Amino acid sequence: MIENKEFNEYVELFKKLPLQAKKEKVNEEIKKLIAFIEKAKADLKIDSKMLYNRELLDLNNDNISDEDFVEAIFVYVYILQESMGNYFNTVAKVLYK
Amino acid sequence: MSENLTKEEILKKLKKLREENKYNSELFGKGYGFSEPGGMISYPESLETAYDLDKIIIGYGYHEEEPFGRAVFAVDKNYNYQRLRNIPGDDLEVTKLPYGEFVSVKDFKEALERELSYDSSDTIYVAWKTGKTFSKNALIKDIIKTVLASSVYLKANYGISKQNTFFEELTMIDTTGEKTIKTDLGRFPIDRKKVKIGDGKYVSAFEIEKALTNYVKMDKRKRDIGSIGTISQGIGEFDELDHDDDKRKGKIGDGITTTPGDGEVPKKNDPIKGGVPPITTSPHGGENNPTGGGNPQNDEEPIGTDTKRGEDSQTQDEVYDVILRKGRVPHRLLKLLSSLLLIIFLLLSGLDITDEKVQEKYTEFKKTASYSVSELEEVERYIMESDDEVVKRIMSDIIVDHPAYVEPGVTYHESSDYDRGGKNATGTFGKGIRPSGEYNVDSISIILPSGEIVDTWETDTNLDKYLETVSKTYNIPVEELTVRIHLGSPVAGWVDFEDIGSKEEKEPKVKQTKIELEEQEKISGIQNDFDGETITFENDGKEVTIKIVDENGNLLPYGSVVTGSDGVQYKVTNLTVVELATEATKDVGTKKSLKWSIHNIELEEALGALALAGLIAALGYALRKNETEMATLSEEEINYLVKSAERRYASTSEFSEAVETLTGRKINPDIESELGIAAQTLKDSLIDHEITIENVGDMGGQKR
Repeated sequence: MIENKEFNEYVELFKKLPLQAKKEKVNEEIKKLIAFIEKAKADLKIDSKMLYNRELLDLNNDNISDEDFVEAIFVYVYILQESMGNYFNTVAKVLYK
Repeated sequence: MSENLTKEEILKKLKKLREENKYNSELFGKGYGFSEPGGMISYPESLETAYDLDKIIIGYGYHEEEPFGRAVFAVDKNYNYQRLRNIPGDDLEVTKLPYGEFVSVKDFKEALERELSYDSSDTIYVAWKTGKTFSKNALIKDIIKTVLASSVYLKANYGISKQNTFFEELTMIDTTGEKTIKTDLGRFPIDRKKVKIGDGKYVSAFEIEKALTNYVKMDKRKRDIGSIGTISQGIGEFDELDHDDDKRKGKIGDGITTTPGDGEVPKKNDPIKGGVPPITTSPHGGENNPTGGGNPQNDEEPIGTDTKRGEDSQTQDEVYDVILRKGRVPHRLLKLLSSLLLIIFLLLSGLDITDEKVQEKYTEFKKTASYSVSELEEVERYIMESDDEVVKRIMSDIIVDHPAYVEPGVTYHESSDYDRGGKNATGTFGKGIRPSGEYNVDSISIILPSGEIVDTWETDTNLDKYLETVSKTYNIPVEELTVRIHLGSPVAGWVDFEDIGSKEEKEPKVKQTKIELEEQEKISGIQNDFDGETITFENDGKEVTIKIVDENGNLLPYGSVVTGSDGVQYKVTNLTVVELATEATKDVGTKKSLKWSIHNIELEEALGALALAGLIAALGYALRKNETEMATLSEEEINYLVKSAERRYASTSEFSEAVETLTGRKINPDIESELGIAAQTLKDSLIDHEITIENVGDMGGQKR
């Protein structure tokens, strides 16, 4: 692992945010990551349906409870897993023998 | 619903839209990217608006024969564009041409000179990675030299055609690859050339942006706030938008670490290496390479070589005003960095789960009535006696032994046949002994054409009837009979019957009075949303409704008279009803949509974020100086600080680098063939993806 000054600074400032803002930030960052993977998949014309569960809908609430938030993140983690797996499986056909 | 269109489908749609002339609005809006300048080529859209320089663009072009080939466009300063050449996909040599925008070197140089002219003569420029310093002219030379490595050359030859028209023959020479590629762009008649861009060198806009990020600006003028320079340790966002010269004093570059220690705020008199921006370490890991100790080129100025670290030099108080580095440029140059900024912000949108209205299309039939009506007004009509009727009335009033009136000037005669040999002593009423006025009708004498006289003295004999009797008796038409009347009491003489009666009596009298409806001015109009029965219009400032169909629902025929809601009668003079079918939509409910998208943001948005950078710098400084002050910051301010820190971190992040790679390059052709997929570029991947949850219950998860 490596320590990064800019990242540390970023985290320190993140810590100053109110809890709700932190949740929004986490949500945003995960969305970025999913979007990134989906974009990479789109580049390779990998046509797959993204995993979905309605727990994500709770993220629409302005004051999402801690419990709902954790549940939504749980779903996000699996969306990420599936998206990455989907991407990797296609790439692996080229990279792995 | 996901709209994963195949290329064929996109092309089909594109073609259709072209035919419908919607090409620009719809496809570009969705970012399909098969577009001409004004849409996306291979850079984010707002880059198109970032330059007011002549440029050529090599991007994807749509054409029937080779839909996935490239095309070369010329775009002038006013964003007029012209497709110069389509490049078929199977032209292997030419397809090695780089994608991107190439701006005129001449224009760019002028723009750069213009921008730098706003700086004071004290300003020096530093390559922040190497520490080399440059004068203004040297900086321009250095930048131009750097970017020229990635140039294409637009060469124009001029000639006269057989038809005696002047033409320009354009050739693009690309030296960016391993081999020089010459591409004939074609001949363009001068008088029909839509876009007139000059020939010469054109350099990659992307390379310009990259080159600009290598330099920082140092301004010696504002010594009194030198310590602020320490904020540049990383928090240091600054006021890029604040391009007013008077306000530039507070700008700081975070790429120049002027502090003696990480996180420490240097004191005003801290020794800082002279003249040169005291680059000890850059956030990007650059080595300290003070220009003073370097070997400056001829036109590089070894600024501050007379000062050393530890001295109370002027440079201790210098404000480092970063203008030419990643994300930190003054307003005028900021626009040149749009591509880079946009990539930074590229992924900020991410996923959105939204309620979307579900709409249903239906056909709506609407009737429109075109009408003309006239108000009918009651008018009195008089029917007057004809001349014959006047004569007949006077004759019927001449009755033996009844009075009759004579006007002055009428001549009376001694005998009724005075004009046929009878005695003819005469007199005139109103003159002499017989005044005008009423006299008694003594006798009626009718002279036949033969001269024979038939007369009557019988009381109450009516001339009208008597004349009729004589006419029948003698079988002589009335018109051939001569009638004379003898007036007496006092005795006067014989007069023609036409002379009997006053002037008033001889005037035609009103025979009959009738009330008629007269049409007034026509009222015409169109009634949208015609209800099938009534029309409403305005008459004399009042709203009037009339029914224009009969009891069977049929339109009233021409000339029909109907009574309006104002009680007035109207005559229908024209009615036409047209029924139109229109497509309409109606909301039938809502659905949840989960969308993800990658797209560029508006330049203004990027600028807006940067506008608060100065504030962020100050806030960050305050925060680090005293964390308790954080409590006084608003959530919005903290958010900006976080955003700022995020951007700084992103500049070192592998993930960000991956994003840049993903959005700035295309799939390696070798891998492409392995995967059996078509080449993709940013434009392809910018297609929004949307997953619509039409039935949440089927998507899993807890039912609610």
